[in-house]
Amino acid sequence: MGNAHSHSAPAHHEEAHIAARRELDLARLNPGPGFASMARNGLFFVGLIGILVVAFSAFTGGEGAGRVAAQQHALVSYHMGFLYALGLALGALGLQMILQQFNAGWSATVRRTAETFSSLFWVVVILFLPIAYLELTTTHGLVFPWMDPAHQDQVYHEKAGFLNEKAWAIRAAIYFIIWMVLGTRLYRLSRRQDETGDRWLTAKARFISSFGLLIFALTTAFASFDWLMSMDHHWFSTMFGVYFFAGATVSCLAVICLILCSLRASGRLGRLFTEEHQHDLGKLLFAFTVFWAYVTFCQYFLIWYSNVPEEAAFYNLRNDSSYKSLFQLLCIGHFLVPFVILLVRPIKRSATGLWIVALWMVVMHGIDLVYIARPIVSGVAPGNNVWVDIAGVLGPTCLFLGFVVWKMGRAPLVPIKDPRLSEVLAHKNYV
Amino acid sequence: MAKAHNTIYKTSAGEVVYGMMAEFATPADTFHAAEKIRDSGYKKWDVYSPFMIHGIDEAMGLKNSRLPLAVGLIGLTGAAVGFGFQYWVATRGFGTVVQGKPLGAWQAFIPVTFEIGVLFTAFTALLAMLAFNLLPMWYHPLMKKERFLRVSDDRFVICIESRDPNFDSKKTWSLLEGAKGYNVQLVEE
Repeated sequence: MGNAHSHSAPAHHEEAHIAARRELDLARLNPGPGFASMARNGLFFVGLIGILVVAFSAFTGGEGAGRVAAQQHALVSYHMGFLYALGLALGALGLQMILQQFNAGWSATVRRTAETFSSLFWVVVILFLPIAYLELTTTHGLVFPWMDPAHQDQVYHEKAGFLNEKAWAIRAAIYFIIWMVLGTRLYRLSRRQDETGDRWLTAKARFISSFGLLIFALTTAFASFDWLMSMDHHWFSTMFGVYFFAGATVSCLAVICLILCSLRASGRLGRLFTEEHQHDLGKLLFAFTVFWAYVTFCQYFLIWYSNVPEEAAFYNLRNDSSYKSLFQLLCIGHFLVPFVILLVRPIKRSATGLWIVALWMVVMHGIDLVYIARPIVSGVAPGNNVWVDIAGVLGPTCLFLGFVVWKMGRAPLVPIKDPRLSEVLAHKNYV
Repeated sequence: MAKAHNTIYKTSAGEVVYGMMAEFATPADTFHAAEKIRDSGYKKWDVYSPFMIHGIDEAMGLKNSRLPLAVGLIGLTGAAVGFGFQYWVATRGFGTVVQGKPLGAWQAFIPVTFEIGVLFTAFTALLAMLAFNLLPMWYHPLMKKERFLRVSDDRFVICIESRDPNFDSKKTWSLLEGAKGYNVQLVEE
C-alpha cells in the first residue's frame, strides 16, 4: 500500500521534493553535541541552583509551624516548576499532533523543536518523583491537602473514590506512560525519516496523532485535576483542564519562538525558517494568548456571576488578598499587552521583536502558575520569601530546557527528509 | 522628460484618454509584465485578472494594505465605547444593583465589550474595504471595451492610466508590447 501510494505521486511533487532537499545545508542543520553549549550549561546551572535553593529553603523555617510552612512553601514552589516543565512538554506534544493532523506544510521545520520537547518526558518524570515520593511517604498533604487525614472532611469523602493516594499514583503512572509512548514514538518516527526518507512515516505520524490527540486531551485534563486543581479539594471547575492546556500551550509556543528566533538570527536554518514562518508562529502565539484569556475569563466570570460559595472560594482566596495584584498583572500582562503588541505585523516578523514578546509570555506563564498554586501556602504571607517561588519555578523549568538544548544538538534541527519541505521553502504570507 | 501631472491626452477624435490597456494570455506573462511596469516606475496602473495571481502585489510593487490598521484602531475604539457606555449606564445613567454586585463591576461588562468590539471590527473591515477600493463604482472607462469583458473569463489585462506622470503614448505602448502584451489600445474616458 505504501509503495502504491508513493508511485502514484505526481512527478512534479517528486521534483519539488528533490529540489527542496538539494537546498538543505546539512552541515549547518546538524549542530553537533557542542550546540549552544553556553545556553545549555547556563540552563543546567540555573536549574540545579534553583532546585538546591528550594531544597535549602525547606530548612529555614525554624521549629513548629514555621518549619511546616517553609516546607510547604518549598514543595509547592518546586511543584510549580514541575508543572511548568510538564506544560512545556505537554504543550509541545499537543501542538505537533495538531500540526500533523492539519497536515500543515509550513510548520515542518517548527515541528522538530516540538518533537524534541515531548521526547523528553522522562525528565519530567524524574522531576515529578520527588513530589510524589515526599507526598506519599512523608509530608502527606503539604501540596495536596486531601492526603492529610486531618483535612479529610465530608467533602473529601464524597470524592474519595477518585481522590485517594492509590488511584492518584496509578493515574500518574498511566499519564506518564501514555505521554512517553506518544512523545517517543513521534520523535523516533521523525528521526527514522531523517535516515530513510520514507514519506510513508509522515502518514503514520498523522495516524498516531489522530487518536493521540483524543488521549492527550483526556490525560491533560485529568492530570491538571490531579496535580493542580486538587491542591484545593473543596474546589472544582469543569473548565480547569482547558485552562491548564491553554497556559501550557502558550508557554510552549513562547519557548519555541525563543528558540527559533534565535536560530533564525544565527542564520543556521537559512530559507527553512524565515520571517514568513516566524510570522505564522507569531500568529499561533497570538491565537493561544487570546484562547488563554478567553478560557481564563470564562472560568472566572461564571464563578463570579453565580457566586456559589464552594466555587467562589478559589477566587475569594486569590482576589481578596495581596494576590489580587497578580490577578491584575495577569489581566494586563498575560492578555492585554501581548494582544495589542502581537496584532502588529512587523513585530511578528522581526526576530528581535517576537523574541522579546515570547520572553515576556514565558515570564507571564510562570506568574500564572504562581497565581494558581502559591495561595495554598497559608503559613507564608503573600509576597514573603519570593525568592523561594522564583527558585522553585526556575529550577525544574531551566533543568528541563537544558535537556531540550542538549537533545537539539543530537539531531538535525529540522526534519531533513520531511515530504513537506518543498512547501516550507515556498511558504509565504499573502496577508 | 517627465511631464507635468496635469497633461491631458486626447485621441485623434478628441476624446480624453483614460489609459492604455494590453491583453495577456497567461498569468505568468501578466506577472512578468507587471514586474517590468513596476521597474519602469509607473504608479497609476492596475492588473485585471479572473482570479488571484499569487505574489502579484509584490510584482506590482504594492505596499501592504492599511485596512488592518483601520480595523484594529476602530475595533479597539468600539470595545472602549462598549465598555464606557455600560459603565456609564451602570454607575451614573441608571444604576441598578443586580445580585448584590457593585454598580461598576467590570466583569459583567466584558462579554458585551467583546461583542461591540467585534461588531465595530466587522463593520470597519467591510466599509473601509469598500472605501479603499473606491466602491461602489458605477462607471469605469474599461467597461466600455468589448475585449476587456473577457477578463472575467480567460484573459488578463493591464491598464496604465494616463494620469501617471510616466505615461507616454509611444513609450508605454512599446513597453506593453515588449512585455508580451497584445491588442494594445487606448482607453477613452
